[in-house]
Order: sequence, then structure tokens, then C-alpha cells
Amino acid sequence: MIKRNETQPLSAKRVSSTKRFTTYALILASTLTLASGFFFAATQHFSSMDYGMKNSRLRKQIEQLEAEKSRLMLAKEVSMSPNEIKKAAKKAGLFDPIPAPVMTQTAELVQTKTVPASSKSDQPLIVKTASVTTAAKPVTTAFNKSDKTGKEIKKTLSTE
Amino acid sequence: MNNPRRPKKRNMKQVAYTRFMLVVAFFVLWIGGISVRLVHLQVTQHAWLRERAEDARTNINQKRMLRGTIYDRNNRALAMSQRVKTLYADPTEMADTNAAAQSIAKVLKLDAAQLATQLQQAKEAKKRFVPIVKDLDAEVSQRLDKAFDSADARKPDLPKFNGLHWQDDQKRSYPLQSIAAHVIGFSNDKDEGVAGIERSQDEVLHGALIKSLQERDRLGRVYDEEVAEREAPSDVYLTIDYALQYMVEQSLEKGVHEADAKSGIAVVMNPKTGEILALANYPTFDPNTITSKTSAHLANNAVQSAYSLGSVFKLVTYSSGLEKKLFNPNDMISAGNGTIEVADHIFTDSHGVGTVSYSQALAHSSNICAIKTALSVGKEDFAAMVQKMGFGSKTGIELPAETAGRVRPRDKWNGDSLASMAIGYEIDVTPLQMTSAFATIANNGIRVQPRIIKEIKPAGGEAKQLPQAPQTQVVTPETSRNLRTMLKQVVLTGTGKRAQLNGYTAAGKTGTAWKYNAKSKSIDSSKYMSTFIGMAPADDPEIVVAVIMDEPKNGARDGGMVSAPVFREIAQQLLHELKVPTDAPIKQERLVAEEDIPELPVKDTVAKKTPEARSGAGVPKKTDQTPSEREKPKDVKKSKDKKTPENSRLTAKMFRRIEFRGIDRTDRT
Repeated sequence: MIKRNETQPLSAKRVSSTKRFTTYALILASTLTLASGFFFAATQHFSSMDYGMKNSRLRKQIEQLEAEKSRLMLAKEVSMSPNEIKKAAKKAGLFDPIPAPVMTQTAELVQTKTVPASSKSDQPLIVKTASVTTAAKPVTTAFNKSDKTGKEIKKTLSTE
Repeated sequence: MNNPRRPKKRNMKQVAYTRFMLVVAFFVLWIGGISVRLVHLQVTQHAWLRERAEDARTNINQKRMLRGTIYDRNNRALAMSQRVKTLYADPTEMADTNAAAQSIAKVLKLDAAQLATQLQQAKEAKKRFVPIVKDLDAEVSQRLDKAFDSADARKPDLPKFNGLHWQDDQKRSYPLQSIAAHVIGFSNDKDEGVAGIERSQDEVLHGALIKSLQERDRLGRVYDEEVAEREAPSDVYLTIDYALQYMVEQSLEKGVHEADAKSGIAVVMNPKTGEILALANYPTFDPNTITSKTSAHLANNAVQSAYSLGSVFKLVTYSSGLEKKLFNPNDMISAGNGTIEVADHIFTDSHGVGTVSYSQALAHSSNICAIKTALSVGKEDFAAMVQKMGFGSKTGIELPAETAGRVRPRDKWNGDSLASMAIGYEIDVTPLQMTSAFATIANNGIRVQPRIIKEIKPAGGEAKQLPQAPQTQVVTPETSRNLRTMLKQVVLTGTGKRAQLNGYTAAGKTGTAWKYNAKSKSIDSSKYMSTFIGMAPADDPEIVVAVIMDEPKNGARDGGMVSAPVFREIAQQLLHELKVPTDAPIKQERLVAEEDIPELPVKDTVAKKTPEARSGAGVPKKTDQTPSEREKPKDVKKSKDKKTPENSRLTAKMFRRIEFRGIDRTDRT
């Protein structure tokens, strides 16, 4: 007697629909994975490009800032140069100080030189500020050439 | 029976098959054609296509790194570079050069017709680089980018104007203008050092060329950049102090003007370290604006020219005598009647000194005493001392084109060479060599090689250790002490009284030498080199200052009158600035030296030598003559000089005959 399984076609149908579903699901998943992979790759690509552009802009900015820094440094150095300070001082109404009288040390022989006495005055010899006017009238030293006329000089020479 | 008119029944399968095969054949041919083309493009034309694709997408950007900066010892920038841009045109990219020229000229306010001609000519010659505006900073270039924004321009880079491009350049600036110009030098448009430190340190300062490979999208935006890494150029730090340099230059300029001199040189050196604190030449120049007018003053005479400096060389003469222990500073020496005859030549003092101590002999710059000392030292020992002091060889300072001076080899000396050299003739030395010799005495006999570079620092890195300057014991400390004592007398009682300082002791030596006239091949008694080289404080010198005036025309013109006051001004300011403690009382009252003993120049006592005489002995020699007499060579051995009225006054008491062996005054390289 042939025994027939009546339920087999139904079960087979069920199996096939499950398989089909699984297959579809797998296809979908694969598609999604692929799509998301593409999407991810595209995102990465565009992000990389974006970073590249940002990087390039930053590089340019660094260059510009460095150029600006060197320009400012140069401007600072120029403005601090003695010639510019002189110009600025003149603009501000200051003037060149009259040269202070030149003090000379007493000529003395080494043999007769004794221990130098302590300094009587701490007054600085160098007037450093352009705005300071000298109190004393410039002393004309014997060494000042402007005082010695050519005639006098010749006389000096001829006597030696 | 078959009817012939009846069409045959078609085999549909056969038809379908045929059609199918036709379609297949078509597709095969189509795909085959494409495949062949693809193979052809990708295999045979691969390189060309790749290049084309890369060209469309990438561009190579070349840029030179900024040249290194030169600083003074206190980190003040003396020379620095800046990024600038050059706007240039590529006429081959311009469809209509006239229209382009009109637009460019309108923005830049140029002559349109001239620019159009220039562009047209360049286009015909297929020139791709026509500079239009140079040295523009970033701000101006950005404004021009906006001004040149053209809608129909199809180019990725700025400015958006067909045929216009930017080229990155750099511009060298010298913010302190003429200050230390001879030391710093300058560089040219190609970033190559031409003079001074710019030249000697060009390898260190020179910026490498960096290439960057940029990839751009269709809108011209850079999305990838590959930059070749190169070592950044280094910065150079000098031993020069710009404030001291400024003071020295001001004093020198003043001194040159007061003496109405042709030029002047000043060198300030730290004798203990060999560091050059200031080095000035006047007239000077502004390295920012080199013109044909300023080009005459470009030479750094402190190292590039050699001179016969006269009596300052007596330092070497007395050094050799003291080193041989032939005398002490207080021993007596007789100058006799003020003349001495050596190898048939008579040398004379400008003023008789009689019998004096060696100190006083040097103080009054007695030629006779110096010659006697040299004769007692002997040729060999004198020549050895000259060599040990560094004459005849380069000092090794880091400046370009340094000359070694001229020292005649020992075997080529004439009978009177020793006597001539004892008083500073027949030998050409550079101002720096002479300063170095004085620095040796100031440094207890130890010669330190002069140097002008403090350190070299790579950008953002650690400073490179420079090799230590060689030090040589040339004379004993005792000899140095004795010499300093003698040099102190020069300033206190001798020819260098005008070098006296307030609050500090000073030691030094004056020198006055006639210049050699290369044209007439003889000494020119109307032209002087007036020198003062000194040190302060005398007992423990912190600075050595040399002042040399070329052809002073005002006043007595000797070193004591012309150069000593400049020394005083420089030393007084520098010692104060360097905060050197005073070692002498500060006097408020003015003092006039009781007796002026100007060091009179030797009035044409040097025999004028003919070219033959310059090359050897036994030739006619000339003595004190008028210019017209100088033309005719005659034998005047031991002659009583005939004096012209002009010269008689000067030569009455001070004729001396020195054989000048015809060493050229200057040796510029």
C-alpha cells in the first residue's frame, strides 16, 4: 500500500517560501550592505576631499599669517630703527641735543700717577635722551679744530 | 506538384537564428570595437592619457623657502625676507592681447598701448612669462584678485583672468638701512648673497626650493596636496651689537666730516673673545637701494683693503724687542741727532727726542728709536713676530673677500726693509689685522681669531655649536703688560693725548702714513692714512678700537689729531654702554694738554721708486722732491734734500728717507 503524505506539498511550499524569504532577505541585506558600503565609501571620499580642502585652506592661511607676521616684524624693526626714531622725535618737536662738553682726563705720567681718587660726580657723560637739552654751553676745547685756523696749525707745525 | 509561384515556406527558426546571429555579430563588433579602442587607449596611449588626466587635475606649485634672517647679538633683525608676489602674463593663453592689455592697464593704471605691444611681441615669440607687477604683498595681491575677477575666465588659479598668473617670490629687507651695511652685505633678486654675511653664509641662509603637488576638483579647489619636505634655512646671529654699531658709525661719520677725509674705517673688538662688536666704513650705503652711485662704497675696507699704516706698526717692533728681553720700558735709548742711516738711506725723526726711556720713545713715536730697536732684534726674530702677530695671512673672519695683506718674504727684503717695516712701511696690513694685533696685547699676549658670527640657528631648532676660535700665545703676559704700560704713555704724554677718556684709562698708538700713489709709482706726500688704535681700560682692556682715516684734509691730519678724538668718542660711549666699571677719576673740568705733540707725518722722505726699483735693489732712488722733480728719477743717495718752499717748513726738522718698496696701498679683491 502506498502511503502518501498529504501534508508534504504544503510543507514543501512552506519551506520554499521560507527559503525564498531568506533569499530575499539575504539579497536585501547584501544590497543594503553594498549600498551602505558604497555610501560609506562615498562619505569617506567626500569627507577626505573636504578635509583636503580644509587642509589646503589652512596651509594657505598659515602662509598668509606667516607672511603677515614677517611683515609686522619688519615694520616693527623699521619703526625701531634709529633713523625712524629720529624722524618720529623730530615730528614730536624734539631736536638733536647740543653736544655736551667733552671732559678730558688730566694728563699725568704713569710714574707719578697715584691711586685715583673716588669719583666726585656720578653725572653721566652721555646724554641719551633726545629731548634733554644741555644745560651748559658747549665748551670749546683746545683740540677743537674749528678754533684752530689754518694759519695757527701751520704755525704749530713749523715750530716742531 | 509544387507550384513555382507559391512562395517557399520560411523556416522561422532559421530566420530567428539568422537575425539573432546578426544582432550578436553587431554586438560583438560593437563591443569588439570598443574593446580594441580601450586596449589601444589603455595600452598604447596609456602614458599620454595619464599625463593629460593628471594635468587636468593636478598642478605642481614651486616655492622657495624664505631666506634665513640675520640678527645682531641681541636678536634684532638686521636682514629678513618677506613673501611677495609677482603678477605675470602668459600671452599664449590670451585670445586677444589688445583687449587683455586694456583691462590690465585699467586696473593697474599702466600704459595700455605699451603693454599691448609687449604682450603681442611676447605672444609672437611664444614667451610664457611677461612680468607685469613685482613685489606685491598679500593684501595688494588679494585686492588685485578681486579686481581681475572675470566671469569668462576658465582657469583654476587666481586671478580669474585668462593669461594672468601669480608667481611667489620673496623680497629681502634691511630694516636698519645703512647700519652695519658693510657687515651684512646684500643679496640679489635670485636670493643669492652678493656681499658681506649674505655672501659668506649664503649656503646657510639660502632657502631651498619646495615643490607641492596639488590636486584640484573641477572648480579649481585644492583637495589634496603633497609637499616635499626640505630643511628650512638657518638664521645667523652676529656678534655685532646694533646700538654700538650705530654709535660707532655716527662717531666715524662725524670724524670723517670734521677731517674732510675721503673715507674712514672703525673696528671695535672684544680682545678676550675675538668678537667684533662693531665694524664700520664711511661712506656707507643702504642695502635696500643699491644704485650705481652707492656701488663705489660697497667694499668693506676693514678686511678687503690693505694699507701701510705707519707708526701703529711700532707695536710689533717693540713687542719683538720686549719678547727678546732686550730692554724694559723704563730703560733709556738715545735717538742721537734724530737721524739714522740704514743701507744708504737716512731715516729721520719728525722731532728730536734725545735720550729718553723706551716708553717715551714710543709715546713720541720716535722713528729712530723704533728702527734701533728693530735692528737690535734682528731680521729673523722681527719677521717671526710679524708672522706670529698674524700679518700676511687672513684672520679667518667670516666675511668674504678678506685679503691677507702684503708682507714681503724674508728672502726678498732689502737692506733697509727692516728699518722701513719697523716704522710701518713696506708692509700692507688690513685694519682688522692691526686691530687683532692690538687685541693680542690687550689679551695678555693671546691672539684670538676675530669672529663676527655668534651662532647659527636652524629655524625652530637648537643653535649649532660653532668651532671655538683658535687661540695662540704670541707674546708673554709680561711683554703684553709692559707694552700696555708703554701704550698708556702714548695717550697720557705722547702723540695720542686726544684719546684720553674720562673715567677710564686708555692705551693706544697713533699712526700717520703717506699713501702710495699707484699712478706715479711713488709716495704722495699730500695724502695720509691717519690712524689711532687703542684699548680701554688700559690695565684690563674690554674693548680695542681702531680708527683709520683715509686722506684727511683738515687740520694737522695726523693720527693723533684726526683719529684719536674719534677713538675717544667711540670708547667713551661704548664703555658706558657696556657698563664697564670706571678705573680713573671722572673729571668735570676741562683740561688742555700742556703740550701738543702732534705726530707729524714723514714729509716725503720716502724715496719715490721707479717701477724698476720696486722690483729690486741697486736702482736709482728719489727723495724729497716736488712733483715735477719726481718725474725724473735720479740717484740721490745720502743727498741733502732740496726743498720746495711749500715743503721746506714741514721738512725743516723732519726729513727722513725711507725706501718704500712699492707695495700698492690697497689690495682690493
